[in-house]
Amino acid sequence: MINFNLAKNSAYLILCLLLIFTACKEDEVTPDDEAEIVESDSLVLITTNILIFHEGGFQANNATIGSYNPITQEYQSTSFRDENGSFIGDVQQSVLSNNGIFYSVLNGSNAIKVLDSASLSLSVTIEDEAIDKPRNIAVAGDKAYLSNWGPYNDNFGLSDSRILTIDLNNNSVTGSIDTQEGLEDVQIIGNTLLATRFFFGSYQHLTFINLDNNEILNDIELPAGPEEILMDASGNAWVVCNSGALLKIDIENTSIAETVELGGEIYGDADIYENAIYFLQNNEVKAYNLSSGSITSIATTKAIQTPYAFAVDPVSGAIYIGDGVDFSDGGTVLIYSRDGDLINEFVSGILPTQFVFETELQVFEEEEED
Amino acid sequence: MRLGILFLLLFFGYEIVAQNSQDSIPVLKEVSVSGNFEKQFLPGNNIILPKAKTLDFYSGENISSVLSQNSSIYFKEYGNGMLTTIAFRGTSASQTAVLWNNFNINSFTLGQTDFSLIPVEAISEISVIPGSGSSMGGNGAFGGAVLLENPLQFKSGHQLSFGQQIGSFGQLNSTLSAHGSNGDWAYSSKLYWGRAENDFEILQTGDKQNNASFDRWGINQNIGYKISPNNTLKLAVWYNDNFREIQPPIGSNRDINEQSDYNLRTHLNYERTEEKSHLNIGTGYFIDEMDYRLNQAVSYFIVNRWESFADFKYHFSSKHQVQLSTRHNHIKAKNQSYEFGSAQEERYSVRALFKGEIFMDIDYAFHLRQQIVPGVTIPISPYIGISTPFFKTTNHQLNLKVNTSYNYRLPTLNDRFWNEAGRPNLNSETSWNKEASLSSQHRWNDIKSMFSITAYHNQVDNWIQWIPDNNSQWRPRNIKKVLARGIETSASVEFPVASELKFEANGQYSYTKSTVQESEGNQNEIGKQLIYTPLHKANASASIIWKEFSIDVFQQRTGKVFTTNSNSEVFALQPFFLTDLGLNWKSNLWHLSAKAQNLFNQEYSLYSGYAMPGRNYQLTIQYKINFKK
Repeated sequence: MINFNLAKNSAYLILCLLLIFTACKEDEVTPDDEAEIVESDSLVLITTNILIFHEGGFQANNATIGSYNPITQEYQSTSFRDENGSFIGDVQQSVLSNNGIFYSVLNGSNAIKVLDSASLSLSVTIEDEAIDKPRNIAVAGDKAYLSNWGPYNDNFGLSDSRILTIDLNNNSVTGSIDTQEGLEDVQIIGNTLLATRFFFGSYQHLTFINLDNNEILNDIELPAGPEEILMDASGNAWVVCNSGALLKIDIENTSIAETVELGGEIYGDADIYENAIYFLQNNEVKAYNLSSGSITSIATTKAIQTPYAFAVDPVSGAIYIGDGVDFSDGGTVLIYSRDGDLINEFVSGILPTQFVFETELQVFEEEEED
Repeated sequence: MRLGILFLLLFFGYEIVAQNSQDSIPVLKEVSVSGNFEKQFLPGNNIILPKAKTLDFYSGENISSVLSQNSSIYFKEYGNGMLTTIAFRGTSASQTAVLWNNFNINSFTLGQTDFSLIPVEAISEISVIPGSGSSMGGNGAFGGAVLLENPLQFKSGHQLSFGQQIGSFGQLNSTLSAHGSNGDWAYSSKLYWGRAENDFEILQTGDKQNNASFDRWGINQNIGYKISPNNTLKLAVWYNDNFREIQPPIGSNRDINEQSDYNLRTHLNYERTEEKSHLNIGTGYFIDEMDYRLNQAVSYFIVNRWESFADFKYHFSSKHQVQLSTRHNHIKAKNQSYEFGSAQEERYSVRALFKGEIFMDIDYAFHLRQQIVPGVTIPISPYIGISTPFFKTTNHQLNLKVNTSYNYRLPTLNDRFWNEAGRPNLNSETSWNKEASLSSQHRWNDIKSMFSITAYHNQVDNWIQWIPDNNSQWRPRNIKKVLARGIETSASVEFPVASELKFEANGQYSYTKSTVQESEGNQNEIGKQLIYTPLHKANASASIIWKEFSIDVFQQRTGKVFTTNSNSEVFALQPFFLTDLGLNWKSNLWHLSAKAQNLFNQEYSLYSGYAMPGRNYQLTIQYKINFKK
């Protein structure tokens, strides 16, 4: 789910470091009690809103959150700014939705912004000297775990990556777990924290951390390009490798339980819908069925210049793709139905990086027959 | 290199003559044009000469402040005193040529000039030639050319001056300059030093700006020696040393970036003047070095250049002259990001310029230039310009100027040699510019006025842009076609109000429409205005001068600029209106000034995400000693 792009734009990129990052993660705002409800006699679960998180330009402090109404098919580009009066920050790397709260990880601003997910109102900004180029965040109870690249060494490599621990009661950094370099996505399964390590292909590892004592259990080598970590309905963790593999992880033995070869490179941001892992390969959306192991083609997309976000609506199965285009212009959002038909296409903010689906149980009123 | 020297030798041994008077100098000019020979061959172009009062007012700052106040130019400034790049007539930062004493000083790695590295104190004369003219300005003169000069005067007395400025946010600037002549020798020396904490209040947040201090010093030394009445040697050395912390975007609070720039520019010219001819040969050595640090990481490059030229001008009749030129540039760059860590390029050019008067005061110029760079396709660059006085009396004059030119811009060293991304065989960008201007000068009793209007149309092809390829690898490609067109107007007036009270005012307005016509990279940008190009820009200044006192007011109104190619309103920078006010007292020896900039505390940005200061103040004291000759 984390995809990097090394920007080598001739002119000022040398002066300003010239790295443009991206990370993408889709999420669903689905209360547990609604998760299993698809339809009842009078209630139906529908997706009412899709929040589209944008990274913004590199060092431009113009990350945005927009919202898309799938019913009216209207896009509102300034949802965060309308509520808070400004852009959210610089390089919005990833967002975690947890219990009605969004944790926005700002890689450029070196901060975490905590928002109310309903209103997008900013409640607090978590800043600390230790937060340096943060990537992704995971939450368990009142603790958060933040993957943090740390400072560059003399050759723009990394030398001090860590997982930072954050106390969500007072929103402060309380400590760190020293790891190896290049941390990316983080997921908590039981009392184990999984963290992929990638950093533009410099690493291809998965770190297992015991959260009871914050000690590293293992750090294993994976196929190239480990990015997103997904959780399936059975509680299994899957690592998406952009070299073209899905890895089922054996938490107990800190190993790879199963490797699914996909026959070519894929985009490192994938999603799970109805017992299948959906992924983007070239300009085709495919699904790997977790039960049968079959791979089917869902949709052939328009040419995507810079894949930057990928998600599936947990209710409708509609496929949402963010195209970063040229990294500095507004990105393009493409929406396909579960049958592969193009539903909508529009220009959103700069570098759409993550979709979050807001669902709601609504009363279904049947028309009475005369 | 050897081939380049051979090129130069082709033009040795001719006879020569004094220069004619200059063209295109407005009635109200206050800065004399003594140094730049190039401008004289552009009868079809207007030339902008910033007034002395503007140079005085913006002392302690960079020349971008002067140019922005005097032209349609927009500067992208990545924070106060930070990287500052030019956007001129709807073109990109690398499509304006910047020349110092006729040597192009645009960065050869990036293709553009960082104007924050050119303090006003370093330069004696600044002029701007709007409009394309690669045949004159050389590589990349699409939007225009900025000419910087430090001329020498052989018949002047000695003058020594000291200046000290103190200002808001810990600004301190000191200058020491001297010029004069003694027999066969002439000199001009400029020493400058400046620093600023730059911890201004960010108006958007109320916080103090962090990590934005800068510190610089430099020397610009020119020495001339007359070997004989017709033979002159000139040596120029300009060294500029600039350190800065890099101002982070609003909201970022990390003190981690800093950058040092070192620029050494030197040249030695030999000039020989005969009855009908003038020979100018010269050679220059240039070093541009940049050291950028982020945490422990270092990005470093150095470019060494050896550039040599020979210009030979010949008057083949009383009304017609020709100039033949050749130039060679040996460039060697070290950059850890290049393949093998370095790159080398040889550039050659030959040029023929014709200029004269056809009849009835109609001046013409015709140029041809061909540059040769192995591996790069470069078209021949012609220019035709005509200037004619429509109407001329003792007190009134109306001139029509037209010109058209076909121009080129070479890919930069980064474009060609960046490791695993550069394309050595990129084509040069091209532009076809057409423009016409009407200008008038009037005098009614003691009232002097001037008005001009220019319309231009500039078609740029093969625009080079870095875009990600199918493997998400960023690479430069010739992918865009852009049409820039617009109108520029200016007007000025001055008159005495009373016996010792004088009023001066001038203003400019520009309309710049620059749109992408074709793009292989991003279909959403087609038909859209180029980013950081305001559709409307207006400047005005007014002065009241009473005896030794004067009050100056400078105003700039910059329209909205888009910062994304598809022209999203969400990311556009809003229009702003800046007012600067200065009070001066000037005697023969002393010059005291107090100024307030951004008087109305306007919140604005010149680059997306970066704060600029609100109201700020400077006090300057200058003392001059004139020695009798």
